[in-house]
Amino acid sequence: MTNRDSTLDWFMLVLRRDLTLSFRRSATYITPLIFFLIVVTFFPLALGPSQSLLSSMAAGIIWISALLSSLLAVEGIFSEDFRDGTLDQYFVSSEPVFVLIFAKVLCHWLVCGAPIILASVLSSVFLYLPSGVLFALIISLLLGTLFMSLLGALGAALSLGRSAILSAIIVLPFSIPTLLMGTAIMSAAINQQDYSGFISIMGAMLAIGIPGLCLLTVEAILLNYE
Amino acid sequence: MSNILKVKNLNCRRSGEEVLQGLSFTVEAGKNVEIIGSNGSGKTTILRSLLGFINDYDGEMFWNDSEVSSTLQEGDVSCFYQGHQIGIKPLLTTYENLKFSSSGFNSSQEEIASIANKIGLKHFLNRQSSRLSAGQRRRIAIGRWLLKDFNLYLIDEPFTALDDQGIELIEDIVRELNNKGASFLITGHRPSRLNSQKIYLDVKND
Repeated sequence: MTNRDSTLDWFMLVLRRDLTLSFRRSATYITPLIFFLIVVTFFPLALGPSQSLLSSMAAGIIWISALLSSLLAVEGIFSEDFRDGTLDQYFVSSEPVFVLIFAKVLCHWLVCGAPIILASVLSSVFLYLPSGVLFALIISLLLGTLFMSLLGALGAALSLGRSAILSAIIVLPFSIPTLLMGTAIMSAAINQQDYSGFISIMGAMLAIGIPGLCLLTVEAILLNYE
Repeated sequence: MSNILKVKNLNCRRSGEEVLQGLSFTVEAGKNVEIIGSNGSGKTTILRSLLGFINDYDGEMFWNDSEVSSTLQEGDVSCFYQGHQIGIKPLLTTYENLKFSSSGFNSSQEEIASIANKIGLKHFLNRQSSRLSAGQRRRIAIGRWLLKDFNLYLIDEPFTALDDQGIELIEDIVRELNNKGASFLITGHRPSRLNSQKIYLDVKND
């Protein structure tokens, strides 16, 4: 077996393991989804049913709700594995730790980020978001929530063994560029302007973020051992 | 016989306080070393310092007969570590806990079934670990030793929560792996019946 096959097997193993655990512990994926739907629903209740008002605020509402929801479960990315000794065994094994981190981030996105994207399509209906901007909403959230999972993993690694809220406090200030890019894409789409430049910037953030933030996360976890 | 690990004058600290001074020992290929001491004597600290999880130590480590002191990561030794926390997930079955471990991902279903048979969990392969006893969960952790060939096993208090059969199981497995050339560095509160060099630690009370 080549190293590449072995690395891919290792990646798939960690991903399968974390997905299995997440689906057996339904709160992992249901809590962020319910939180997202509750927050989004509160806005029409608080602001009233005015179509023009809700429509103008929809993109911001969806984006802020998605960011906050995706941070709800970040603490769990490493905490259990750290407590029960699994991370020790993974770190001592000769398998690449970077791959382990990325598999765990991808699992977090699949169980938290992806359902939020689907829920955002549903919520766009009662926030009167024009149907013509749905593609922009989905693509911006796809890039944005994956980047948030990467940032969340770093925050979770830095706050291992400490209060769960600490990781959210660490991550939120760093999520501002993602929020700005996401809402810029939506504004451009609503005003029928070209938004491909913003998507490219978000794509570039993600391309740098995957290796950069995963490596930083490895170092942040190691800090907890010292 | 080649040395897997040679430790010279190891001084370990925990939270800035010195827990042991001047420890030296050698782990030869296919042989075992047991570090015996009471709570707080620094057994876990030694293992975690060797693994690089704790960097607050001084002394020299020579991995794989090297003449240059190095860390485990530089030493090119395949290691398996089992700490106090054994990393068994209650929501996973016996099969999944073996398969999804750091040593088991290349193992086939047949290999895992054969290991489950060896550790006495043949009939519990598809049972979630939350429905197993603490001793049975320990047996899964022992089964992980067999999933892949390692040079050195660093095992922190492996006899905890095991009945007589469980202890015999460990002794048999250690012998089997010794015959394949693997070495064990084990910690414990009291000496075991294993054929090993035994090192006794004292608690520093000052």
